[in-house]
Amino acid sequence: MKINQNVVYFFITFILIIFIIFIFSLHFLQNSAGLLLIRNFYGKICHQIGSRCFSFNDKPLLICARCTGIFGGMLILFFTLSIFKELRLKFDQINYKKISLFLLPLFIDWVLNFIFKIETTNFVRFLTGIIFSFVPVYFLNSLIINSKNQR
Amino acid sequence: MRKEKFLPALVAGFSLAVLSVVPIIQLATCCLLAPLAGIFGVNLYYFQMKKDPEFRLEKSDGFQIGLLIGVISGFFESIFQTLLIFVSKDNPVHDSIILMQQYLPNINIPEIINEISREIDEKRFSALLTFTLFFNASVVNSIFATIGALLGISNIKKRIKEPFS
Repeated sequence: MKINQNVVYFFITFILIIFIIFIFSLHFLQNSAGLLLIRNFYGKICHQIGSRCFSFNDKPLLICARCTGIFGGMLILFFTLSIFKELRLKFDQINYKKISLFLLPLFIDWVLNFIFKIETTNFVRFLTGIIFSFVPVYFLNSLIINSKNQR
Repeated sequence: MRKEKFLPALVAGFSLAVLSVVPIIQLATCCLLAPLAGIFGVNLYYFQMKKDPEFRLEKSDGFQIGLLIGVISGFFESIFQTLLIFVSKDNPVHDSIILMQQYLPNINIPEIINEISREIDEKRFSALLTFTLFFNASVVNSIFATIGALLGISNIKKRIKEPFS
């Protein structure tokens, strides 16, 4: 079965939008069972430490600033790739070793936070998360555009 | 499904389950643990199979290994979490309720959730909680391990410059 490439990009973008919307669950959901379920879902992928999450109206998001950056960055990048088709090929032509450099800021931030106990701000974590998001998007993009059963 | 996929998925899934219940590891790796397990599983599978001249790594391998890792890790993780609750004095359901009420003071907690909390306080075990833990861990780990496995396949293909299939 041939799948249109554009559909794949828009589908991933749509999933990421849903994912991002539900990290604001504490702001709009009033159903406690649903909230617990959603909180547990995000709790499986993120430590959810209150001080490391962005807060709006005194209610925290359900994932930390770094994860917000990673998934937010992925959403922005996939949305961009969905709209500008010519970027997909250009993005894929970058050497994968160069793309690995995008891991560096997050790694340095992580080492400072975790090993040396030097606290950086949530904004820095968010920013390093956004930079990191280039890596998964690069490899997923490569997988999508090089697939034989897609047109 | 090739039976050769089971062993790498078992190793990666079990490792993921063990690491998931260690708080410091969860704190350190955050959202990267399940995708890393997926990447690890695919690489194990590739190293196991690459001697076979007819072997070609495919996207479907990533999906299958990711799903297997998710289910296997969900199974072991629910057992480990249940054992941890059994031997500790913590009540994660009660903690979640308190946290929820802290942000939404007027929220009504359904009786079934209070019941699970009471059951843990009294017997240190709740079958419903164990099932929820299994279901939750299996679904979430399957999604993120599959993403990781696909990233792993893409990375291997880039490394060996093999055409995608």
